[in-house]
Amino acid sequence: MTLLSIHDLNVRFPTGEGTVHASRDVSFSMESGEVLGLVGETGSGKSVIGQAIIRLLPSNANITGTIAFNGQELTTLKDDAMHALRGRSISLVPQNPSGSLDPLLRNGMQIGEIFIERGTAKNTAWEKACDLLVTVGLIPSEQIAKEYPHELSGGMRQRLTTSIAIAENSRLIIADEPTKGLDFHARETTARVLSEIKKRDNASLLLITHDLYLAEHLCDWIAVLYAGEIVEIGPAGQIFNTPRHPYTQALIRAMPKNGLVPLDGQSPSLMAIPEGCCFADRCSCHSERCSKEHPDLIQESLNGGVRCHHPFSS
Amino acid sequence: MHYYLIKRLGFLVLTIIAASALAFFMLHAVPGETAENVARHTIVGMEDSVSAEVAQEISSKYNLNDPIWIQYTNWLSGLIFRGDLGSSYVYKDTSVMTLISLALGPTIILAIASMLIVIVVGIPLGMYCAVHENRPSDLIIRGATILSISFPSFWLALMLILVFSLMLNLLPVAGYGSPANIVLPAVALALHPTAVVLRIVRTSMLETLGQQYITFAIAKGLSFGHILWNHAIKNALIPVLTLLGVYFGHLLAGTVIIENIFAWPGIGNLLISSVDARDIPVVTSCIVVIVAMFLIVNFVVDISYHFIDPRIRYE
Repeated sequence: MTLLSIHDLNVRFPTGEGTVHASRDVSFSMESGEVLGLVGETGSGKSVIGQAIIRLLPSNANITGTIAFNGQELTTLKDDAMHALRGRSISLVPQNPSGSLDPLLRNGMQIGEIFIERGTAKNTAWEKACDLLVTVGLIPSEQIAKEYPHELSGGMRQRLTTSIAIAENSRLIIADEPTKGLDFHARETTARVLSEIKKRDNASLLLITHDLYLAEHLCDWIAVLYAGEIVEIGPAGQIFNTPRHPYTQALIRAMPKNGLVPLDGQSPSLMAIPEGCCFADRCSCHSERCSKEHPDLIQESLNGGVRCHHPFSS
Repeated sequence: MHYYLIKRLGFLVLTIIAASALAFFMLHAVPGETAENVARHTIVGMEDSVSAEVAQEISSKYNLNDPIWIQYTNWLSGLIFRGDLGSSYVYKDTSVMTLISLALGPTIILAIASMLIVIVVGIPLGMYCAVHENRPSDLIIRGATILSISFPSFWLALMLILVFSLMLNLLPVAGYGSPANIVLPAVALALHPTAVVLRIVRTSMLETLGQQYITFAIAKGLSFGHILWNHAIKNALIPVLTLLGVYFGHLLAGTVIIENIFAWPGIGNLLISSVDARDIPVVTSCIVVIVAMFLIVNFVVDISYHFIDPRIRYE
């Protein structure tokens, strides 16, 4: 069953110097229980998509296109109906766990307040919070619940925000850069916690990351973003084994285990998107056509698609 | 924590002693003989010229011929060992303790009344402005704060008297005793700090509302009211607390001009009249009390952070 279906999502931010086109014609869909990875470099518009789904973009954002969640259209949903979905049906693992925790609130309360606000007694809420801490491996949970966020390490804060996201068995969890700034060990733990959640709740996970290693381990599907648009989408195995877009190939070559080969150049400014293929300037196999004609995302089969005039054959 | 408390209290005592010494020696540095000044203010018929015998008599009575540092150590040892602030030269040997305790009550009452206005008006309106950022109501309130910051308080005091006492006949012009007496001086004193606190609360609140934990609280599905009360307000008020402490300290220090305009028998009035009459023990003691209250208020504010902000735990 299709849980989330995004069609032609465009997000623009008007600024003093011009319009930033942060997300362009993004379309993808997710089935229940599936993990989709949005990968790409910083500034490729990954997080904007996640924030557009849960409607946390700043008020000046101009959003067009459709986001259908469980049959409901989110872009036109009334504020209180959207409010009812947040935390219960769609939840977020925020990008910066340290800044996302209220410094004056005990760790247990950061989780517990969700239950208390919905009418649960304080004791019960506290117990449920402790159970969730155990779920994400924060032990001894009673003691950690009584502490404050500043007493936790970065990896522990990450697990705390993850436990908040799974508090109400949401159907869709948006994890925004869950391994950003974590050391190898904390990254491993986060990956394990996320995959356990996936098994436990049969929730769908939208994993926004530039950590390809994490994406390879967790994702069923991968969408590769470049300059705000999807350049390649497909099953994770296919993307990692037989990438078709030159950018996807370059990303995979840049992984440490594949030799850490850097990609020259920079992605284009989101305020001045080139007419042709966005990647043409950095592409080793571009033709004249590439700099003139914008390639479409060609869906060749059910197994995804690629936005390239000269894709590698699979 | 205990070490921190002891250290802070030690500094507090040292600061008070230093302030008293400064006040004492500076009064002696002012031109003119103390004894002559005291005589002018106390003996009928000597307003213009003081006879040498009378001056000599006063000098020997209060040991004014001793070296200054001996006079000071006498006064200080009285304070430390007997809790005695000495006797007034002017008020017929009344103990300074009595004079100050009479003046302290009115000053504290006025300070608390003004502080209540600052808190009850400044904080909620600041919050309101932050939530309604750049809407007409916010602009109007902010415009009003600029006016109240710009007008000097003595001018506002006179205008308040003009409007509420003389024109509308609602409140007494000046004096002390009935609850109605406190309204105008408290308002005149509170206007400026209220405006400043309002603006700081607004800024702090806007900054807090932009924090990621507020965005995440929305993502958690918490209601706006819950987020405002349980996250935004608590965090936004932390920096405001220091400002409130400073203002309360200032108000407790007595406000010479406002006490004068409203004939409020507080410590500011006592201080000014004693400076005028060279009543050195009273002046020095007033300074000690004012400095002590200011320091204690700020000390209490600093300690309260220990309980309010878990990130601050004194070692």
